Amino acid sequence: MKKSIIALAVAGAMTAPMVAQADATLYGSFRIGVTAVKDADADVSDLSSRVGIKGDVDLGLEDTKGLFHWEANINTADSDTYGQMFGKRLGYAGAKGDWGMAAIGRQYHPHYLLINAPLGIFNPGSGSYGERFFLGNSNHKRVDNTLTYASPNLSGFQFFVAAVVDGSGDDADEDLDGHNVAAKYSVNGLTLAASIATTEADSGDESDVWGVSVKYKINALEMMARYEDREDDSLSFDGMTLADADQDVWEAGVRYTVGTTSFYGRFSDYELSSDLVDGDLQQWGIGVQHKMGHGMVFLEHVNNDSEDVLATDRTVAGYRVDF
Amino acid sequence: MKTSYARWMVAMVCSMTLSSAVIAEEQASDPWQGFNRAMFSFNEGLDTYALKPITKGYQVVMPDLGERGVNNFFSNLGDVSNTFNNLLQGKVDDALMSLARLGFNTTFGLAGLIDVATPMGIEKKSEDFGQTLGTWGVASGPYLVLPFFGPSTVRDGLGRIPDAMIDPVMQVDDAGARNALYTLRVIDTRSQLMKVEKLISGDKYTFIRDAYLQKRAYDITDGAENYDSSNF
Repeated sequence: MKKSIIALAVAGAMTAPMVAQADATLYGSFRIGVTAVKDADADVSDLSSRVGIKGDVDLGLEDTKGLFHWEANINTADSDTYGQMFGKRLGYAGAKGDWGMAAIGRQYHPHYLLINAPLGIFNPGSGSYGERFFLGNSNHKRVDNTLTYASPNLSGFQFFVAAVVDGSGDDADEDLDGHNVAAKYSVNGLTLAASIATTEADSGDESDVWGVSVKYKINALEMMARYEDREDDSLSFDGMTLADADQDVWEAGVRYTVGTTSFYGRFSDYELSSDLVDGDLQQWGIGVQHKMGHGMVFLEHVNNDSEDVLATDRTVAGYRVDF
Repeated sequence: MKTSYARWMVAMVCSMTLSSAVIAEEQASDPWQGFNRAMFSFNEGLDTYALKPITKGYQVVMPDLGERGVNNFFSNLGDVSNTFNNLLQGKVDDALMSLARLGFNTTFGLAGLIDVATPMGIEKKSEDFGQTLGTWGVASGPYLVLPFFGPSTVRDGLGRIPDAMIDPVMQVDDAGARNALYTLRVIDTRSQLMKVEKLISGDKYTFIRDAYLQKRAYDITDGAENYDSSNF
């Protein structure tokens, strides 16, 4: 329980006394920087700042605790750069114990956590660096109407399941609108993960994605890589609607840390084939960050080999403060 | 009486042996002393009648904060050379830290005018190509006083060439701006030396030569030259 519980206690005393009695943590991360995007003026941008409350509660059960987690955007720059003030990020409740963890609400899918997140070594959100290169983001990153279960750690092995139940007010569709099955295995600094997921729109169009990731840490050096493949019956792409779209991405990253300074880089390749458009994009980025207690400064540059509207060349000098 | 004479003789022999050893060592490191002293006099004249008065004027006109900014600016440019030379010496961590200094000082430090990296805890790791050659085992060669540039050795003098080639000032296209930067850097360097030149005593030529050679030997080994773990 952090010192910021005092703030919570004050808020709780005014509004909901029960919150103050919970084992809750108020946390946040302010991330602001000057960005220079190719063919555009320099701009002060919010880089995915957020604030949240999370914690455990006693359910009166042996070995099982209740949990809750809320998180929202804090927009530190102008409103059109990255989300709205207090825009929704996470909001779920659940329970955890020796048997694992279950949660319901708006949350990350295992696919994002296991396949996409290990490559999230750059500070600004992946959206800034080309959402297109993260195939799991659109259907599996902070998704509403989700139920998840994560098994306990079984000698390094852990498995995950998730389901999306998004009723539309009538009984015209299947109750289950999406699912995700994933697993990871960790041993001696090596983590392997695999995930497969399907999402079905009200129209009946399906989006299938699968991916694998590997992460290895040896002393100050971390290496990570992923491969994702996604097939969509119908895909929105630069104002067009593509049919039978097949996308695949592979990415490799490395991070080297000296004291409190980290140097990192990544390379990613994206391919698309569909009835109307085929494409092949490459993207690379380099960065350095230096931590100072709960603060951090960073410099990052991402280069794209094409004039992709969703992934332009971008350089960021950022400052981050966490509490 | 006889004993006292013998003692005097022993003292004389010891003194002559020691001084001849010192002279021999001096001749080995500085065989071109005639040329060097001539160049030294030339540089001293240049300094006395041109550089030092200009530098004093610069210090009077420029506010202390401005002087510090100018010094930080050129120090930041020096981290380009530090990055390459640390890398060439196999000091990967120091090369990366020099690169981090360059990045943070150029952006957060407003083009290097403010050294934000040092208070952030990223130390400067100064290296030049002369030191790189020394690390690779290239002997220093004779002491050499270069016109305009001052104390050096054959190795360090040659090392100035690759350092100059990666010097960011050299990359400035506009000749006027480039020469202005070169001049400002010379004045900045001289103003830094104002503080330490008061320490010089005795023969100035010998003092500077010995100080230079010792400092270079220290820098090349990063201060580890005289440490031998087998002595302990």
